[in-house]
Amino acid sequence: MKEPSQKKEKQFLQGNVISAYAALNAGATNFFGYPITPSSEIFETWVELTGDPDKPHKSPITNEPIGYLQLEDEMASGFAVTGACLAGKKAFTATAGPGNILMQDAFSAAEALRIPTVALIVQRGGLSTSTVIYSQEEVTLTCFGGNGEGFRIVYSPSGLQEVYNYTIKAFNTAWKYRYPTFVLSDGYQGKMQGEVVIKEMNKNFYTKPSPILLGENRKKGISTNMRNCYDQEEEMNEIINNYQKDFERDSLEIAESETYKAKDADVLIIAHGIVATAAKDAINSLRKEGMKIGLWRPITLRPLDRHSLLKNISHKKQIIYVESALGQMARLINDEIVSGLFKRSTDTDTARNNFKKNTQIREMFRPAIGITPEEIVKFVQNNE
Amino acid sequence: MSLQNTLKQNINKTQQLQPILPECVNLSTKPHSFCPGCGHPIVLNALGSVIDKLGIKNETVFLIDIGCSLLAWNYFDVDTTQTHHGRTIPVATGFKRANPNSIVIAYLGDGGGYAIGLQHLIHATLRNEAITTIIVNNLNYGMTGGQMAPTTISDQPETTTAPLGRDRKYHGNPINGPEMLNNLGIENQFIARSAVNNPIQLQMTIQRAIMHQIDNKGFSFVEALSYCPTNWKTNAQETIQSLEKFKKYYPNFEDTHKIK
Amino acid sequence: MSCTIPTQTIRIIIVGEGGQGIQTIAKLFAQASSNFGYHATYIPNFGTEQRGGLSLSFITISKNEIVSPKFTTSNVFIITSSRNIERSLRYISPQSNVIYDSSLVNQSVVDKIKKKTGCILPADAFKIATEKFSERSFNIILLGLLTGIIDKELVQDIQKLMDKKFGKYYQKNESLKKNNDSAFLHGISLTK
Repeated sequence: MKEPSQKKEKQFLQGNVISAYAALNAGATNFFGYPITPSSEIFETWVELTGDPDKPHKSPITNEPIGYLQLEDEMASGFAVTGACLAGKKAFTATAGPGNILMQDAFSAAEALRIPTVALIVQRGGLSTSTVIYSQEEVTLTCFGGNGEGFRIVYSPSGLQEVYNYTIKAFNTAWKYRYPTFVLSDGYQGKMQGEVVIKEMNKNFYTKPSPILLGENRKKGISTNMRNCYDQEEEMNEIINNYQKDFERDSLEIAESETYKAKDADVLIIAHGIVATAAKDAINSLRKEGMKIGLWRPITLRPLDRHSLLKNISHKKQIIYVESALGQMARLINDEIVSGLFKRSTDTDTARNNFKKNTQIREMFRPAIGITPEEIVKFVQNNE
Repeated sequence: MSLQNTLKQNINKTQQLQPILPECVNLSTKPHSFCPGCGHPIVLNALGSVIDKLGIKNETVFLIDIGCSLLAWNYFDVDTTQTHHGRTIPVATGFKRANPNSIVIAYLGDGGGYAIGLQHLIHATLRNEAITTIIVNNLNYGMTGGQMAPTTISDQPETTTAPLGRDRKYHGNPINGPEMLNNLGIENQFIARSAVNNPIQLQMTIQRAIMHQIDNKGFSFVEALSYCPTNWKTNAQETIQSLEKFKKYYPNFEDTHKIK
Repeated sequence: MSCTIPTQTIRIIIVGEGGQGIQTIAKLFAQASSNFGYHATYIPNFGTEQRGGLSLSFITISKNEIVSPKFTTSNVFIITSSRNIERSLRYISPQSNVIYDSSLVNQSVVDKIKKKTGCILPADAFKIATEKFSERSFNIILLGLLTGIIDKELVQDIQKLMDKKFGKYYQKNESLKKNNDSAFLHGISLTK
């Protein structure tokens, strides 16, 4: 090998460790959790960062002492996060698989009361307990796991640097817009080690948390009385409609996506998270062979960047969904395509015509197993 | 203001058909929406009097569960939020850990505290969380229409899910909350049971529990044995008699030896 | 088919049993490569068992930025167990250089590997560890072996990292450092 490349500021760290550093540098102060593979190192690293709980280290952002608590289960952990958020702290938890299910009760409470919880989800495989390794099968659960409409923000980072960057971002978006926010990573990105630049947060994006209870109003003598229990259908309906208006408006600012060599592409791969990294490698190989192929990647799975999506799917010969699940991401995309092309009014006719002429949709679904660039290349080439 | 004076005033006001309520009670949301004869308002007014007396309205957060307790969401001019069934204690834990200077009160029914959220109650006791938990025990699930609760006893006439009464062989045994928590043996905790048929004593008990929190001594707990005439299907006299009968199973409790 | 190792990007898999210390050396090797200046990633495969299950690790080191850390075809495949390894054999292709531990991998597995690639070599790591060092030095010998195969320039960075990672144990037991250092060098010498 020899002639090593130059790189100085990069560190070689595990994904879960990176997540904990990101939380610290985002100004998070309180962690509540229950250990579960493959997410536990987030908790363990936070404990290390806290130091002696009687004389804890201080947040580099807020200068307040940081802290943590291991609770009796995931339900308690999720709700303790809501409690700490109500007290005005950037509080968070980390979980996976069955723990993600148990925390949905707390997340739906956070959704209903607009509490900016942050949860770092490290997806594992299959149904129920299943594997502790890897999958992308917690997409539906994380986006829509509550008994409601899914007013949540879900980031799907792709690669360790993004795990860092989007974890920092998640805390600030959560507090800016007041939705429960998730960083949906996976067992590979949690357990893998690789290079990352741990840089300080850009202060321009910092959102300062403020107490929801015992806050400014209390000082003025006004009490805050929150509830999530209504007597009448109409009352509930009105509240949800208002949330929806807020969410639609905020989505325009929150939704993010990435395109990779998509502009001149005939074939468009749609993938998210770590699978998108494999797709990029595959695209590079296929481009060498002369194929016009590119990638559209949702960075936020919820809300989806629908304008970019609709723009990028037009005039494509083929769209290929690639994910480590049986179409959980694809369902979100299909839903947006249907709404975008058939329900919404602006430019619909042109968009519809551009889309339906010749576009073929293919699905490369590999539930609970990693996808490599070679496998994507093979799939793209073997089109019967 | 002394209790005697309060009582005197109370009597005077009653004669004017105007109940006197603690200052921290939000009058604009009254009359409250609890059933006539319900014990909750007695517990809430006792709590409100304590908040007034200690002057802690601006530091107190009042966290309520699902079930009849949620009807208290706008009872006070005190910062309040409703949580999910059984999860009030974890929310209180998170709040108190994040803001140790606040006074945190978790207010639950016997279903939330002793059934669906029992693990949280036990672990908060074990961790000696510096919060005050009040569990209102009316021996049934009130809001859902009078089903069997973990506190339903064999002597009760009926619940909708145990229409012939609790059969211990079939339905299992009821729970004695304060006694159980006391048996965990954690020192210096305030654990007590009182009843709504003695509001003055109830108020004193709640006050000591909250003082325990203010003095930063750790976990404090009050079970308030309470009325539920709607689901007990009792008239006023029978309601009072029933509570007396239930007191045999759920007697006043306080282990003062634990407090140092 | 050539048995050469590529010069831009090398993909390595180590397969063994939980408890053999494979993840420790895989992590160490990847980190040392990164410290040296290569790009590197490491992914463990972790089962529900802490000990005794299949242990699989994926390492990539490259002169270029690594986009995707997972791969299907390995350039170097080291195997130190015969139990539960069936599924891991799919990472062997004709380009893979396979090194197997001759006392831990049985003949039927070796035969299966031979059907997939001609580049296969035995190594006596376990036997040497037990005879010359101790059973616990086994993974350090493998680490030396891996370093010898991939790039001897990494030796210093690996030794530095070993001192850092095992310093705690070295303090308690001084002979451990000597033992580890010579096991490491012995591993390198196996590749001559």
